Order: sequence, then structure tokens, then C-alpha cells
Amino acid sequence: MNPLEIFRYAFEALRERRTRSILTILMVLIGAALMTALNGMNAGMENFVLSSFSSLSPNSLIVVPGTSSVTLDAHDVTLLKKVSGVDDAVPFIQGAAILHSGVKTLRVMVAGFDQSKINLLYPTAELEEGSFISPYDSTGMVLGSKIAMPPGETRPFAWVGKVVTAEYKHTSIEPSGQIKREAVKRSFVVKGVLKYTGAPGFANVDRSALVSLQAANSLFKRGSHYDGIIVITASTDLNSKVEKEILKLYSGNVMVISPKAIVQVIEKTMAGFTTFTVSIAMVSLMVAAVGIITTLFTSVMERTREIGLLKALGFKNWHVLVMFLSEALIVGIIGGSLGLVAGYFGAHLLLMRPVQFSHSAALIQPLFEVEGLVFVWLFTLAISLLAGFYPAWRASKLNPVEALRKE
Amino acid sequence: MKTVEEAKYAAETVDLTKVYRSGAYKVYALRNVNIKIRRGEFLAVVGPSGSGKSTLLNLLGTLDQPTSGKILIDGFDTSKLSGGELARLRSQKIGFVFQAYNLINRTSVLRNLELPAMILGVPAGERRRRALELLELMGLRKEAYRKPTELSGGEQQRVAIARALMNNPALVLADEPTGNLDSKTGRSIFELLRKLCHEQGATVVVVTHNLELASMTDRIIHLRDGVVVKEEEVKAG
Ligand SMILES: Nc1ncnc2c1ncn2[C@@H]1O[C@H](COP(=O)(O)OP(=O)(O)OP(=O)(O)O)[C@@H](O)[C@H]1O
Ligand SMILES: [Mg+2]
Repeated sequence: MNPLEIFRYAFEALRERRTRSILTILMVLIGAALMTALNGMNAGMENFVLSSFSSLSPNSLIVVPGTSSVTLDAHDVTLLKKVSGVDDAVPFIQGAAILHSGVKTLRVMVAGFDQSKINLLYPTAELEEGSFISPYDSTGMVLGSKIAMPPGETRPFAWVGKVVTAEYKHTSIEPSGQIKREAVKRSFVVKGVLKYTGAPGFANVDRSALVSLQAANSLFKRGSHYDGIIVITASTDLNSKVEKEILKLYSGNVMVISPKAIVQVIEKTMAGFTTFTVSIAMVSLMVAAVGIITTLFTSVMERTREIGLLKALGFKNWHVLVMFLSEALIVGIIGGSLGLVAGYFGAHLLLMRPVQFSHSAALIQPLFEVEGLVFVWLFTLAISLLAGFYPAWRASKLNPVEALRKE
Repeated sequence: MKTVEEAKYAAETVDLTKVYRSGAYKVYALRNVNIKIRRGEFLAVVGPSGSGKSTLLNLLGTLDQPTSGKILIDGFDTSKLSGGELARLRSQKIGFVFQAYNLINRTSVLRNLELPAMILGVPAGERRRRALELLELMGLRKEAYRKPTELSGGEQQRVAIARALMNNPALVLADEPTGNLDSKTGRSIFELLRKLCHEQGATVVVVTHNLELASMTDRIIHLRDGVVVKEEEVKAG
């Protein structure tokens, strides 16, 4: 007998018990959808977090003051450059400010650093038009692409040659103990606009305005103290050695942040999280497997006489086995395929709203890889077949005389 | 091994014995039964309840194995065949008719008829042609696309008989085919079986409780306590 005919026969049998079949398919669907969606959302989340940090090159270390008594200035840059294994040291000052362009305003991150070293900070940054500004230019500004052209707007916020004003609300404590607030305003001329990098994250270059170090110092009233110094090591292998050296140099009064170490911690954490969520999805697939077992067993019970008849008509044991396995497989194929689609769209739906961060909102896109989807699909099929095997085997072993006698 | 043409009998039993055990107690359902069934013969098996009629039919149909003795179907010794080979033998050479019809109710009459041919691997077009031909013979051509449950008991049993004939079997086995039917319909079923034997060359063994119906066959075998107690040829007329 042609196995395709058995498959068709099994399909007819499933259609006869429509409600029950649909419910079983639904169980499989939910399991497969959960697995697909959780996988995709986890991968998307991991990708998002990683790209936020990986925009900094892996052989960089960020040195920031560890206590309020410590300050970093030009002297520290010279000092850090002398540490063995260090190629370069780039000081930076950054803060949040409100940008005015004509009647329009925008909340942005303003970062000041030597722009000839921009690719040490943002390796993917490139100019769309205009030019970078020199370290001595206190009025030039380079805009990230989302500032020049905010998403959802039809007209640009600012362009090369446009004069904009940055406003910073400075808060300080007077010797008398009074809190003093003042608005600091500085005018800038847009000298360049960056290409869109697409790198999401907290230090999002697309949503940053870049100025010279001294301009940032003046705007944020830092008194020539840097927010931090980015140290570029000769190679990533030297990161931990250089880190130790620096800590020793400052007797532990600075903090050294290693983007590479952060990435490793994130990867590890996400892997653990993925295992956890995917095992939840697995449990739901196991429940579906039990559903298949009970449904098929009920079917074998109800169709005992039919099995007896088929054997009398010449069905071999393996024909009966294949027939019931086909039913399990059909349930697996339909449930798994629909589950994949449901999980794919479900994940997009769940992550449709932007996630809010302190300075910006970001869209986390679920990430699906073909191999991952194929794996979930095959896994669902395998589980379905496995669940179907025992009832199918029992059916194949039925004694035809007894089966035919059954009421 | 004998070929189909050489075999003299459609079926033959040699010292056929079937013993059921329940604990220490043995039940001889059949004891040294020797019968020879000619080709094209219409044979009735009668006897009281528990005399072994169904046991005999199940053994002839290779659905069960004898305790001792052997069965030849169309000359083939069935004791030498494996489970898979027996399934193939049933598919090719044996047709079953049951008291409860045992039709697949979810699908059409036509597809019910096609099932045995499908199992044998007959191409779709050919098995459809054969099924329609048999429905014509049974006077059921118009019911081809209806569900079995929409038919009367007598019509359903005629569909079941057509299904048994699909693969041109050497032997048709019917266990109380009229048990669920009224006497008039039962009579028409026996007339149909008789016609199939005498006009189509089928060989039919039918188990019945009804002696009046049994007298419509060619020969009657009387069973009692698993033993053949009497064999009588029925005179034509
Ligand atoms: N599976 C079994 N296990 C034990 N004993 C059995 C089994 N099948 C049949 N028997 C016994 O074998 C004997 C013959 O049974 P069988 O079913 O062949 O009788 P029958 O002539 O068909 O009866 P009926 O007219 O009631 O159908 C009976 O005594 C019965 O109890
Ligand atoms: Mg019986």
C-alpha cells in the first residue's frame, strides 16, 4: 500500500473528529508559538543590548571618577597615555541639553570630545555632509541624523550652516547651602551632519549633538574637569592588564568600565535567560504531547473495530502504525506551522511599543534566524511523532479477531 | 507449490483444531475439522451458539492461528506464512462480510469499496471503475456518493458484499450477514450471494442460525461442540 494513501486516510480520520483535532492542534500551536516568540524576543533583546555597548570598540576602557573627590583633567590624560599597553586616551564631557532651532526644540545628548578620534568612540559614524570640527572650535556642532531630521517629521530640524542654541539647566550648591539653578545658553553653528548608523542604545550617536571638548566644558560648566577618559589599548588581550595598572595608579579611586567585559556579562546573562524562557515553552510543548497521546488513545479506542476491519482487509501492522503516526504528524505539521507564524507575529506585536530609557526611546526588534525557526518546526514535529508512537504501536498490535468483536 | 489454476479447492482444512485456555480449563472450539470448499460453491455453516462457527471462519480468514492442523487457501499452506504475508493473502484472496457491516461511515460508499483495492495497490482509475461496476451489479449505482449511514441495513450489507468482492477473492467469508436484518431482507441477501456464486463464480462460506436460509445454499455443514456432525448437499430447486 502506498504510504501517501495511508496519509490521506489518516487525514480523513482527523477531519471526522474535527473539534478534538482542532483542540489538539491548538495545544501544539501554543507550544510552538511560545517557543518561536520567546526565542525571537530573547535574540532581539540580546542584539539590542549588545549593539548598545558594542558601538564602542572592544579595545577601549572607560575611566570615570570613582568618588566625588576625584577629578580628571588634562594631567590625567598625559598620565594614562604613559601606562604601558595604552595607545591613546580621549577625554569626554557629555550631558543632556535642550536644542532650539528657530521655534523648534529638541532634547538631545551633547557630547564633547576630540572629533578626529570619533571612530574610537563610534566606529560606524560617518559624515553625511559638512565636516567635523577642530578641538579649538568652540561654536561648531555636528548633528546625529535623527536630530537633523527627527523621525516622523517632514522638515529638517537643522542643517549645515544653521545657528542653533543649546540650553543647559545647571544646578549647583552655594557655600551657604542653597541650591542654585541657572540656565546656561550657548549658540552653535551646524558644521556637519552624520549618516544614520542605526546603532540603538544609551549613548545613541544618531540622537547626539557633537561639539568640541572646550565647548562642552563651557556649556556644562565643568571647570575643565572631564566626565571620563576613554583609554584605547594596543589590543583587547591587554584590557585586563591595563585595567589593573590604572586602578593601581589611582589607588582604586577611579572606575574602569570595560565594554568587552560588559558584553561578556550580557551574553552570559542572556544565555541563562533564554534557557529559562525556552524551557517554559518546552513545558507547554510537553503538555501538547500529552494532549496528542490522549487524543490518539481515545481515537484508537473508538476505532478499534475499524482497525480490526483494516487488518482483515490486508493492513499490515506497520500500515496501522504509520496511519496513527500520520495523524500525530499532521497535528504536528499544522500546529507547528501555524505556531511559527503566530509566534513570529506575536513577538512583533508584543514589542511594538518603544521601550523607554532615560534619554531616548528605542524599538527592540525581535530577531529570527531561519535555522532557529526550522529547529522549532522540526522539534515540534519530533515531539508530535514521539507522542504518537505509543498509541500507534498499541493500535498496530491489536488482535484483529478481538478488535472486530468489540462493540 | 500449487498455483491458482492447479488448486482444486478454494479452501481446505486438515485436522483443524483450536483450543482456548482459561486457566487450567481447556475449551475445544474446534476439534479435527476436515472440510473442503469447492470453487464457486455456496456453503452454509450452521450449529448452536458456541459450536465453533465463528472460530472456523476466523481461522479460514487467517485472522487467527490454529492450535494444530492446517488451512490451505487456494492451495497455499497458510501455516508457513508470516504476519505480513498473511495480510497480503487476505488482501488478495479473502473477502469478509460482517454481521455489523463494518463500513467506514465518514466516507462515501464508493470510497468504502475502493479501500480493499487501495490496500492491494490498484491504481485509482482502475479501482474506481471496478467499484462502480460492482455497485451496478448490486443495484446501488445511484448510492455511490452517499454515506453508508444514509442507506438501509440491507443496502449497507450489499455495499459490504461488494467490498468483499473488490479484489476478486478466492473465498468470501460471511459471519451471520443477515443477523441484523429482517427475514425478507435476509432472504434477498442470500439470493444475492447465491447469484454471485453461480453467475460470477465466487466462493462463499456463510454462517447462519437460520435453517431456512441455509437451505438456499449448495451444502450445509453442521457443527456441534467444535466437531462436524453432519454435511448435507442441498438439492437444487
Ligand atoms: N477468545 C476466546 N477465549 C476463550 N474462549 C473462546 C474465545 N473465543 C471463542 N471461545 C469459545 O470457543 C467456543 C466457540 O466459540 P464461537 O464464537 O466460535 O461460537 P459460535 O458458534 O460462533 O457461537 P455464536 O453462534 O454464539 O456466534 C465457545 O465455547 C466460546 O466460548
Ligand atoms: Mg459466532
